[in-house]
Amino acid sequence: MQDEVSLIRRAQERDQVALTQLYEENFDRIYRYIVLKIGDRTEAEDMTQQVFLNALKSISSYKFKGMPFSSWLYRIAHNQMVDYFRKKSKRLTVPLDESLPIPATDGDPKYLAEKKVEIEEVVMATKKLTAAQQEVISLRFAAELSITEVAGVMRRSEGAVKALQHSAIIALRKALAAE
Amino acid sequence: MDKGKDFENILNDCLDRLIKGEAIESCLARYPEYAIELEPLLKTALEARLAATLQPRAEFRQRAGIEFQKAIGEMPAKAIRHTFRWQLRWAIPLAVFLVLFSGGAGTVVAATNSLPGSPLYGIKLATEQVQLTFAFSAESKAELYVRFVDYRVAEIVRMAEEGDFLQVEQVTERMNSQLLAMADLNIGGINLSGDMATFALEALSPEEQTETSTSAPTVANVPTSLITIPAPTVTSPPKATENQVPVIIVPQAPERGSVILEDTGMLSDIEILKLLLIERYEENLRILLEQLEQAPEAFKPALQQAIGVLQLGYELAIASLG
Repeated sequence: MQDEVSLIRRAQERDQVALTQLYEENFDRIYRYIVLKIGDRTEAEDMTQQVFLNALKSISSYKFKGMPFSSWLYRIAHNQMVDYFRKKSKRLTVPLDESLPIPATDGDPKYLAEKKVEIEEVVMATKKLTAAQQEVISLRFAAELSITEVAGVMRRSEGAVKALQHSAIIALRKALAAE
Repeated sequence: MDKGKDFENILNDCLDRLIKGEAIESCLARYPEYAIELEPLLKTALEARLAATLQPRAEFRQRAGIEFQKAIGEMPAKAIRHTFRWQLRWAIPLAVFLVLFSGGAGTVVAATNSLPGSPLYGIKLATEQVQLTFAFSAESKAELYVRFVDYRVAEIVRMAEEGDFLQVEQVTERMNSQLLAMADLNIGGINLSGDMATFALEALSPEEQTETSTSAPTVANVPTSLITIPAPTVTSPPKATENQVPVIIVPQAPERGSVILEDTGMLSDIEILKLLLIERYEENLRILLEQLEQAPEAFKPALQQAIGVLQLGYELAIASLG
């Protein structure tokens, strides 16, 4: 934690190496969180980029309060998505296209194709959940945050997040069964 | 705990294990009485985990990286420091005016009690500089440094209580500079700080920081039992609102004259100053160790750093008195 505090401090002094390190460490996770929540690759890419540009603008005002730096980034991403959904009259229905990538851990094209379909099903099923349920699924499983960190981002108690997590998984199970 | 909450905790425990790579079967074996209920939920969670394998496209990653680097290049350089310099432009003349013409007036008192981040803090630091400028003897300067280090310790305590880690580190650096400046006054004819100007913050390895001694440096021929140490009180005012200036009440470092000695005739000015330094060192060390004890784990390294700086700085300053 102390290392991260020093890193943030350097970043606040416009240290390019520190800023780049914070960017690299969080880029993929923020992208996954956003893409699972809005289910549109192009929009998710634009929004991910904007999260980091906004973070850059306001990093001098960041204050360490015991939570990881990523929690602050998720908070920025969360606020951006709230604005995004507010501006949209309805949820996006643009499906994830075939370019939705997964890591090439296996060279078998059949395996990769199957995984891609499974991921797409999860993303589509997640879109049927309530906003809060989507949030907890995205933060917990796409971004891999702990319950404490999710509670920090969502500004809810850990108990409330655990209850929400339970209901979200039940809802996701139903949505996947209906796919 | 009711059954629902109990189950939510068990589910969460299993999810934590699943995220770390444990198999579903292992979780079910851990909670056999909940296995039937848990299994479908954990299977769904495992499917949701597929989302963690999502990766941004390589071309997007490259484009975004270039944009980010470009944005870094376009950032105004060290904007915070510019603001500070701007503040100094008016803070120093104002501080000179306040020190010369209204000593003890409301603004000076309010500034003295201000905390890092508050609007008056710039005046507080500028006032300290002005006071040093108008202290003509080395002994007077040393007494001022002692008082300023007291302020820094009180600020560290308050910033740690508020969870403002960055300010704790910044105030520690400021305290380091002031302790070094005190050691550099060369009052006893011994200048120890020259080669050690960067001793404190850089020299403290994490191992050294964890071994914080609670003993004060010893001073030959001066029985520390002769000193009467006033018990300082550090008060924590209620959380500042937007309209309030956060304040902190720090113990006033006793003037040399207030150090009660059984036989002052036996002690020189330097020895009395040394007693004052030892007294304030012991007291500040006690305050910081107390804070360290109750601080959350994440905050301990910063406080250990502050303690290390205090110890080394004071030991150097005391040793410089001969």
